[in-house]
Amino acid sequence: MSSVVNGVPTHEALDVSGTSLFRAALVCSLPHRASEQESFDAVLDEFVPVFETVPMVDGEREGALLVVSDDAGSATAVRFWRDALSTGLAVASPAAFPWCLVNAPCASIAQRFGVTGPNLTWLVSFADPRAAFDAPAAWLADRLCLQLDDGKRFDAWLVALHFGAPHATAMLWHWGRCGADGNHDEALALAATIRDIAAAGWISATDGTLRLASLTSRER
Amino acid sequence: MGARARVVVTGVGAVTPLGVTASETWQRVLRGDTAARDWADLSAEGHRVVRACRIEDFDALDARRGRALAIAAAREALSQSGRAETADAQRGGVFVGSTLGESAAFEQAGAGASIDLTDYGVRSFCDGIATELTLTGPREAIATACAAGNYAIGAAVLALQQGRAPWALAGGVEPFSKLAMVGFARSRAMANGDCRPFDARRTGMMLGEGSAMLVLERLDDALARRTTPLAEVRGLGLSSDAHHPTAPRPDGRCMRRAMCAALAESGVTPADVDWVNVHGTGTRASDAAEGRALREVFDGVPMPVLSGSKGALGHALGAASAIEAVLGVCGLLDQVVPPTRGHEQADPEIGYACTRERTLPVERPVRVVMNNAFAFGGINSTLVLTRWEPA
Amino acid sequence: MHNEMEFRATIRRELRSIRRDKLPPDWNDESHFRDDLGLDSLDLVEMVARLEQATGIFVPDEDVAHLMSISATVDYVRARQPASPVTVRSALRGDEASP
Repeated sequence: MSSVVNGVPTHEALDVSGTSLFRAALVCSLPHRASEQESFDAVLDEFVPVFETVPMVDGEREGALLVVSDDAGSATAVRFWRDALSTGLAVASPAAFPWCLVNAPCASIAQRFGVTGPNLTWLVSFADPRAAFDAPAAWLADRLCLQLDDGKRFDAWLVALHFGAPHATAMLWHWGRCGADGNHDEALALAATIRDIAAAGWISATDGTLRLASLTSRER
Repeated sequence: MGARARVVVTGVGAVTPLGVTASETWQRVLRGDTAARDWADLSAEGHRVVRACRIEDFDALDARRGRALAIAAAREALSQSGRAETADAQRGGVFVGSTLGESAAFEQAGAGASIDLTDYGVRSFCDGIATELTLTGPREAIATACAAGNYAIGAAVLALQQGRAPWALAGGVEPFSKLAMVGFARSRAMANGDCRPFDARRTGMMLGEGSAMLVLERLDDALARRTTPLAEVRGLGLSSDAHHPTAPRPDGRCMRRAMCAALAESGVTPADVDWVNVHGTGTRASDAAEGRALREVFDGVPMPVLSGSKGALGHALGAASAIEAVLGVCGLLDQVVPPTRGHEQADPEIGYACTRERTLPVERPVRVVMNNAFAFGGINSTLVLTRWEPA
Repeated sequence: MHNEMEFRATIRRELRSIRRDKLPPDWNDESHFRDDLGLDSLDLVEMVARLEQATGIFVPDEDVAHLMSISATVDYVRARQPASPVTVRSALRGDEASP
């Protein structure tokens, strides 16, 4: 199985112990809006195809959500404080406060798609893209290799976000696996592979050479 | 599957409103002290809520307060552990959680200052510790709000188990945030008075600040260098409410899952748990949800001793669960559960009381402590620490 | 209270700007913000904040729960601004004002 998204470099499916691992990827430009929240909300619907392959059970998807960002919440925090000073602290508007936090997008995705598994956010620098994905790749590989019961599926979504100019971008990968044994050595090798796939995708998505609008088709 | 390496704590450090060291903080929490008071500077600036727990007489530039707090706690932990004298001292990893990073820098930017904020997020705490202590191991800046401390400890444990570092500093840092004071006050989440965890008359939270760091290493390595572990980190359970940006799921369902996941990973049962350090922010909704979750987790077995420290120290956001993990380690060593400052009258709706005074074990030693931390956005975490007992 | 009609219209406008997509085309002054209009806790504290900005009245935390409809809100403000015209300054920034 290979996964194709408009313009995103394709990757051969990783076939580990007879199960498909890498399932899909998606890139969106984040449109310019009055706030990070509005900018992010504008693309959430684009994520639907990458989540809907995992059916909801009792309104939940039991997967993990991992987010890396270098600036989520930063612009909102500055604006929140600027507006608070403007109105006076005693009567400041609270609406933007939750989005002053780096992990607001992760919580937003979880709520939108009912993802109730582990929910992690790292603040990274994309100056070294491979290093930026080291932590989530290691976490993900560990779970993919070691946290499975026989036949039980594990799904995770990895998201990379950059809100600032010039290329505000959201990128989303879906990783999944069912029913296989693993070990620490395999986990480390797998972590490196996940990291490299994510980094390569992010570089292509954000170096200005790829301009994407939305997902129109995806091979399953 | 190969067995995972066991990971132990060999040093702790903390800077909090009740002490510039972990030991001082622990002694004052044990005494039932609180750092809560009204602040004239907040009043002068027009804050609606001026009551908070802050660290007095800690000298640092406003915009680098977090980094200074991080380094101070890291130094104390490292000194206690003796790791700086080992051959691989410089290869230590650094794992730090925080909610807002250097909040003062963002406030200055909001006030019009020209600041490149990329160097003032939680990454700057990792970098600051690593530079100050000359550490070259992996670094992770974890931004999971009020649960970040637990997450950072879990991330360090994973790195050690995967062999990515020979040892690690892990914890949380949160310098005092006027932005958070306004945000929580205007969200109507603050207490009218003091924070009263799990109390019938609780009215909300109280903001704090601080830092706490733990030195973690594989058990085999600690024993090989003849260091007696302070405690063992047995497991971390995570889940997400996926419910609302700020309000928790009222039924506590996903909080329960995090607790159960932690127990499962730790290989302990609910009946084994001696002490739960509750998240206990003192808000009506969060304490009620946590109470429901506890009821379900401990259904059929006696409820463990419950305590919380946010009435003493305030809510230190990203540092809170790390500070509370340090208090857990201290309690396991001293075999005592601290009082829950602010808890006077159990809420009949929750149905459980927290400690009102120092509580000594009666039927058995304190061996297993659960450290709950539940963050904005429904991020749930439970860390399990156990007493170190040589085989 | 002078300008009461304008004040009611201001509350409607502010609520629309807080929840652009979630409100019905119109609702009566007795409609309960939470139960009838589906506003959540975040929306409500934001609405109260804008009310404070618009009227200069401080609403203590314990009173927030009382401001659950347009009528209740008008009554609350009237009780605290009895003799003077309701000072109304829309909290909406110019670029957010919806028709």
